[in-house]
Amino acid sequence: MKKLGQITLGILTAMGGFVDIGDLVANSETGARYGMSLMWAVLLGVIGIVVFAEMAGRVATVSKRAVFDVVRERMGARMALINLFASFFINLLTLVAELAGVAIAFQLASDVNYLLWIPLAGFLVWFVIWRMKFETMERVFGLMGLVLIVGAVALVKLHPDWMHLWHQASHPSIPQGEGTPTYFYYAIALLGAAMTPYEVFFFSSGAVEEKWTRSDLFVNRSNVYIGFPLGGFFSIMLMALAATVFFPRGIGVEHLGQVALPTTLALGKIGLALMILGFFATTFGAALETGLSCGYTIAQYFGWQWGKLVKPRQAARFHLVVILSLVVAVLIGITAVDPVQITEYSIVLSAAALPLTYFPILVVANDRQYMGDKTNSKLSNTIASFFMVLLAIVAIATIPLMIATKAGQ
Amino acid sequence: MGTAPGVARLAGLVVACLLCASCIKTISPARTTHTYLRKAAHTAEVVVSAVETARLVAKSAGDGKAFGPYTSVMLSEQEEQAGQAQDTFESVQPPNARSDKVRDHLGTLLNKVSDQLSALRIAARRGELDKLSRLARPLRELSKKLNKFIENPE
Repeated sequence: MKKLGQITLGILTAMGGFVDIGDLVANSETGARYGMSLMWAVLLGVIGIVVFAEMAGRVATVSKRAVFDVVRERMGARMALINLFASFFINLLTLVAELAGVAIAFQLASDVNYLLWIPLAGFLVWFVIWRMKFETMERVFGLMGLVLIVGAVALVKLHPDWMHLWHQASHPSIPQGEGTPTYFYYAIALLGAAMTPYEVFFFSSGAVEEKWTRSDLFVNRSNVYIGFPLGGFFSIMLMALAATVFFPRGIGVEHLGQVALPTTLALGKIGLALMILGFFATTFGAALETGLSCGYTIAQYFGWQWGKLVKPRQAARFHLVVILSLVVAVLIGITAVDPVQITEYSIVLSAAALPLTYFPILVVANDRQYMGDKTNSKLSNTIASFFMVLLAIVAIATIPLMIATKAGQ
Repeated sequence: MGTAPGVARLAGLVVACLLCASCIKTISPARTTHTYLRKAAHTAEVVVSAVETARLVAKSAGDGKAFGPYTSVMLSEQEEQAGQAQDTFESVQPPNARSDKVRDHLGTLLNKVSDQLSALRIAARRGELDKLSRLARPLRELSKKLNKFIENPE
């Protein structure tokens, strides 16, 4: 029974923790602009993150070392350094976006400008990382993120034309007046939002922090195979809400506050309050994960002591990187750079850098020296190989598409 | 072989510059009537988005479904969005007399939208949420006119 409880809790945490500001913005934006026509990109992203997160969790559990640690040893210092630069930059950009998301949640509840909340959000993230146990931190914000389920209730209450939504999803087409490059630019954004690199860095480092053993591999699989797809359900729900309320009215999503509007119309103040709480929980949880991931990647690359389980004095350099990352993210955030734009760039650039993160995981997950009898199955390798080809195409196409569409304008 | 890192650095710099250029919302000139009309229609689309959002916010607040702070933030953002779109459009040089007429027509509509959105924002900031539905009423007609303009921006 204890195991079952642990698995259920893990699934719920993975589900609630799946959504971050990238998912909130990208899914609502695309739903408002393309209806459900880009749902296939979300499904593709969910399958991708499931395959690679399971691999990353398994690598960490079996080798007792987190992904970045193994990547440097297996791929060599130079190759891993390129990976480090790209991953750290994207992590930092995502951290800026998540902190802005927390600040906007405060702004929506208080009407005090979000720029004033960003330093407080940065401090709170540092404080929680410093004081709260890893498991507690992961569970509290993951479970709190589940309040976003209120969006599903709102969707039912809005009485959408389900057949029409299904038709949009099953017969994807580009609406009149929209260009094909922009359509694929947003498809890449959705893929990047679902497969953000920090998710696997955090997931694998978490497996090491929580001292997973081979008997926990089942927990790893259930978290990933059940929790992440259920989290993907939230993404599709956000897209459907925007497709129902915004798409027919010609409304584009330019601000995070708009994401809560369909739920407000359907459920009133309770719905609005829960959505704002959901924004806070998901963005704060993701800020913790990205903040820690900044420390994880650098510390694991240089072979420093890292993690929340060791005393801060013993992992001083790891904590220093986390603190400096938070300070830099706060400084960038308070320059009044548009949070929605920062979010868009972070997820699109994530998509461009995905092969750098996922290819080494695939290599290590097939290496018997590290994995023993727990290497990838044929099915896992087939799906992962398909994704590697896809991600390579995405990586090549992203920058030209970004330039050609002026970042989806 | 020795030049490879230099080439890589240069390529990186070029990509970075192109990325920065793509990220900045530049105002490119309109050299033909067609380009000018396209820019005018795009401006109207952005403003319709702000107007329709403001209408939904005003309705939800008027029905007692939204909190004051949320309403105030949302309406301020829509006013700002419409204002920015108008400023950007007005800074584009109309290429000929035909474009002048389009500019005047759209400008009149955008000024009316701006006035209504300001009135909504002021009422929301004063906590007069019950007045929002009434103040938002003219936006319906303005939205219709803007949509008509998008279909035929002449």
